[in-house]
Amino acid sequence: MSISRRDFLKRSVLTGGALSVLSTTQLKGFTKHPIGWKGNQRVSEIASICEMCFWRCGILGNVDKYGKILKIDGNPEHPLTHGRLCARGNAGHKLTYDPDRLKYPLMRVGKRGEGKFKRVSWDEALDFFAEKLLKIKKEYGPEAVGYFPHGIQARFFHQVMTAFGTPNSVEPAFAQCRGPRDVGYKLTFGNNIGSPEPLDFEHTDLMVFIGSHIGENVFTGQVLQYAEALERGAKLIVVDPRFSDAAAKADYWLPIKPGTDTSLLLAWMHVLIFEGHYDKEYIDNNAIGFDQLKEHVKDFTPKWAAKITELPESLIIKTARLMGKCSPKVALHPGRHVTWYGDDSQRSRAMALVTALLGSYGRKGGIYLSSKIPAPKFPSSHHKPKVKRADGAGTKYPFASKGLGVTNGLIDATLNEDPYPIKGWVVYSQNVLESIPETYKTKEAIDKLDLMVVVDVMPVEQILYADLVLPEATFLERYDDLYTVKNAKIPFAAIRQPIIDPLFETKPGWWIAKEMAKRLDLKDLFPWDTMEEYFDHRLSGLNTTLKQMQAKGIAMHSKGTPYYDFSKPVKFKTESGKIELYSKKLLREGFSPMPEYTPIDEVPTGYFRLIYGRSPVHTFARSQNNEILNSYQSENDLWLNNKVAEDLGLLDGEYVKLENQDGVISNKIKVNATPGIRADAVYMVHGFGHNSKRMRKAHGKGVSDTQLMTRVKVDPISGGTGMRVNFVRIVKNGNPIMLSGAFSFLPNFEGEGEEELKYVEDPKRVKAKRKIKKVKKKEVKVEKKELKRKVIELKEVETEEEEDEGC
Amino acid sequence: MRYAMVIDLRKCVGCDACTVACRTEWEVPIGHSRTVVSHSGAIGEFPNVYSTNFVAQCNHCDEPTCVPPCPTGATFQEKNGIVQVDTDLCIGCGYCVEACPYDARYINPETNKVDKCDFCAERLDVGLQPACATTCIANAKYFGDLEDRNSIVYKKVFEEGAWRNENENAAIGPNVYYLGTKNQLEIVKAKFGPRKARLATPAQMWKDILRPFIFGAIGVTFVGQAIAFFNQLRNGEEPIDD
Amino acid sequence: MIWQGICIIQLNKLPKVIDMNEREIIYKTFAKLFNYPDDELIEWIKSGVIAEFLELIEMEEAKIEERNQWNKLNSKSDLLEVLQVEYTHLFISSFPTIPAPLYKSFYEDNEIMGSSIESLIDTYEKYGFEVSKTSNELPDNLVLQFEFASLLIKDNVPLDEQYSFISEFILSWTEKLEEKIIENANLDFYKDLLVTINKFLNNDIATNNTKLSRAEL
Repeated sequence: MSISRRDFLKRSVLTGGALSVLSTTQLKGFTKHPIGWKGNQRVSEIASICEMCFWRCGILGNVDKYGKILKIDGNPEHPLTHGRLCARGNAGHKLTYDPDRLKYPLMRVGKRGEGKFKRVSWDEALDFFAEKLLKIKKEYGPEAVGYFPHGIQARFFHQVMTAFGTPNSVEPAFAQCRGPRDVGYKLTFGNNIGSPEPLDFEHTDLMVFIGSHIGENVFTGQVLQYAEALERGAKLIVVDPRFSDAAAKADYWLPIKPGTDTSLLLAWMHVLIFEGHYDKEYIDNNAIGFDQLKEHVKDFTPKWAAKITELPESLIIKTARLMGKCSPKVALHPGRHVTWYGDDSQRSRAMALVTALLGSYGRKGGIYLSSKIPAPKFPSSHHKPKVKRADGAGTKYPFASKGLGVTNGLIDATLNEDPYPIKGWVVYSQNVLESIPETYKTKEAIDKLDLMVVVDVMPVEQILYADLVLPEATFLERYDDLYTVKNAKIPFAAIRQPIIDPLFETKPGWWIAKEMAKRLDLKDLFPWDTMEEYFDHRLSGLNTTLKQMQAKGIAMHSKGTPYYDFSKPVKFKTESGKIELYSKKLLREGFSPMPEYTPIDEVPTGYFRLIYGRSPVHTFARSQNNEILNSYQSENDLWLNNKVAEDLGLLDGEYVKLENQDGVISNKIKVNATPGIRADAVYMVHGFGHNSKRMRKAHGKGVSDTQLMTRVKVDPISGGTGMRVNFVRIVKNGNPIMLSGAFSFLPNFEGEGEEELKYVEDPKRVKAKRKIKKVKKKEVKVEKKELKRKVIELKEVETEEEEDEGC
Repeated sequence: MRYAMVIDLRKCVGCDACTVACRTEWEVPIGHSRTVVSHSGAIGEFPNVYSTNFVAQCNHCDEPTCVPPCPTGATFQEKNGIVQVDTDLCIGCGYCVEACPYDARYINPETNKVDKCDFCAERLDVGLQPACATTCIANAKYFGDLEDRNSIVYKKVFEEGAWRNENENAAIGPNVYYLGTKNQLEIVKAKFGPRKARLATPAQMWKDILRPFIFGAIGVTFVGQAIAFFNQLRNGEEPIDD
Repeated sequence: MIWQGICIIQLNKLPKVIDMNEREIIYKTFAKLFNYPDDELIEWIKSGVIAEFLELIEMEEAKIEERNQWNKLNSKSDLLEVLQVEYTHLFISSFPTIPAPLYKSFYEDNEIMGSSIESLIDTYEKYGFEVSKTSNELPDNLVLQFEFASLLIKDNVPLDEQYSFISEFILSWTEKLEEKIIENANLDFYKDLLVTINKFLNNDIATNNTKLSRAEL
């Protein structure tokens, strides 16, 4: 630069006019301290709970003198995790310090999808929100607002939306995750499984996973118990088309043909019953419908299932016998994400029935029972909405949870304005474009809205379509509702408390909800001023206060043993008060009372079935921009059978694209040619392939499985969206590539050969007609009492499910 | 006192909790690691396959090959077996990085000094376990004093027969032991065994050491380094002929 | 309009060396300019104060005409919204990532609140300052750093300490910020601002160095 100092000075002199104007500027960024001030000395360790995923393990946040979170440790006081913490939890503070996080309330300026926003004040934002919402209420009724929440922290918003008058609250935790499982187990045992799954790994002799890939799918407490069980010598059976980390640790790996699990379960039941391995006493005393079940499974032989599942008959028999041998100390994992093929409630039922036959439910070493925690809520004068739900929960999908709802049902309702128009969406901590399949439908539905509000921490793609974006403080900067864990042997309550003050103008969810309530004429909805007041009320049942709890973060509530006491008659919460092997409830709604195997659509020639799962370093599509976690896994890869890869001329590590059955083409993805997967399926970790161009870390890395899911098969019982019904073919250099005609694949299962069933009773001679008649007579009686019972049950369902956590 | 670690590969789920905890505990820059989790992937032919996870870190060997090549004495072994780096003395020459058959060392680009696992010595001082073992979600990492008959590592090594990852390239007494199935240990031998130590030639080392003299930059620090170095020579730790 | 009048009067005054009072105002104004746009800023833009200010601190030929185009393009409220949208896009939140965060740590540690804020906070503390509890901004936000520079000037902190703060904590990253803004800006406003300010900062320091070396002589 050729400017002399003189020039500089000369120009500088000319500053009088503008400067005298500008000199009036008032800045308030700093506080001045008197001489001798030594600066901040804050160094502390604060107990809280994690939110890098939905398991909410105990954490300790270490804060340095600069007010910065230096490190997150596990909280040794936590009764399930004992101070241990997974990779995501260890990297949790990187979320707080992610430069991309939402910082101020934003209002849309341009068109939807254009991404033009301006920062506004909280007052402006909340006034706008209330005005729009009240307008929708006036024009269409309060039910025209749909609410998409996630997790325990959503409860305050839930209260607001309910009091506002909409019944339409939907979480993917149900219809995209564990809905069918909850339905299947509830129909059988009267209880859904809940969170965390109450598997008694501590005492089990055998763990059975069907698709569950613990280790890659991480809940610290569960992995810990699982690993300790392995060390103790517990056996492990893993049913998975893929050689997962759990499969590698298993005594038996059953690489099943995807979608045929129900036939395997039926064959297992066949062996358990006809070889006499089932727990006769348990079944006789506690279950109804055994004879029907026996009749039902008599033709479902291992031989029959072997053909369908493409597993050796001997392997099916051996594993069933092992289960029988270990009965009742068998922990059959009910699964978590189970919306696979559209027959998922029935498959879950089949799993529940195997558990029942083994006598494992409510028994040591099997599935233990959950307890209650006395955590009173503030009484509310607001009534539950009376309008019927738009998502089909309870009507179109008779067994769907009314607490969690059916996301896809509400999207359909918005799109078709059927049964009534939905004009506003309030999305809290949920990613409607990444977690719900058939994205194109979701986008079309958004187009129909008058208002879309997103409350979130990170700018995920859906904010492009939002009219208003409200930035929530991260989990390390806020209080949330009390976290009560009933599915622990010693139930406990844990608090989330701020480790640092919220950065920028982000606010905790409870504050946002409270402010919303004020503006929606629901002032008395939150009759407390501070979180201390709120917590002290909720903790009163546990005889503690927020202050007392703050140091450890945990309050235990010990209560009895988590197993049934069979010395007295046990009453299950089903219609009959017994374990229902045969479900009249299902029959009444027109479904098969006992699980049946429904053949799935075969993989079209040239295609592979797309299956997906979890990674231990990421949570859904939420953590890919985390600096540390991204450095461990920045993209997903495509598991492809090595022989298939060889035939296709693909090398391990090379990049290809995928095209699904509807012509949707993916980003590029790296081939992982491995003998650890069947030839008819490809596998990838869910949550990658972020679409946006400028995403600093996550953009364009790997493939989004959700984008390739242009089809779903809806489970008519639960409303869950079966997502493993999509097929992909491999595209290289722009052209799809096909297997050569010469390719054949005949797996040779080492050590498997002939295995004869040792029948204690000949299935051909099973006659159950007499008993069925008896049941039919009873049915009439039962139906008379039906109405009353239904009302009672509904109430129960609602209180229970409100407590449910997300997935 | 002889610190040792035992890693049970039968329990390890390969989740990287340990490596992330280590990274945040010691602010290890992204792109480098004090400890690494590897996955072998499925080996064999479908469906008869097996695999293992593997966790690597500094082995704090009985006869560390990284100590002798250090020209300044920055790398040294404590009586409790921990191989330490004195960052005040380290000149970032990288000889030790080459000399470690387990690739357990790296040069920190922010400090230009060598860095590696030190069994979380600072945590041990205040009665804590190493960060990785504390956080391991499968409780697959055991840490303790191998000379203490009551310690868990004694039990794992001498009663359960935990195995040392040695081969013909390097048999220098690593103090990270492994438990695993036969198949797992076979994979470890085949895929994750030590390499040959790469040692700098004495001539090369002298040249590098003398360079600062040549450029006349005799600072106080260097004098310290030089003293340490000559002490090392006098102690005869590594004969280097000119 | 009245401001321009004052300016003309000033123009007729004899040249003088830039004084500390003026430097304080200049740095204060930098802070103000990088705050979220408000009515006051628009008022200043509309009345030409900002254009003039930039011309005053600028080394190359005046762009006052060009800058006055801002006035013609938009009504006051439009201009405010246009600038707010641009500010939000560049510095606050945009999907999926903000192109040019105003935090030093982002450029030096690849994150926010990285280790580089430690020495910054120590420096604030050394002079008895702490970021106000009411401030919603991170300590290394450009706005706060400019404000702090103005406070150092106001407090008559020795010149070399002022300049070492500016060079060590501000100039160390504002050139990278400039690149990011140039790359991602939809409007010229912030581009122009930072280019001009960076030049000023460099010159301010160069001037000082000359002064200091003279003093030594």
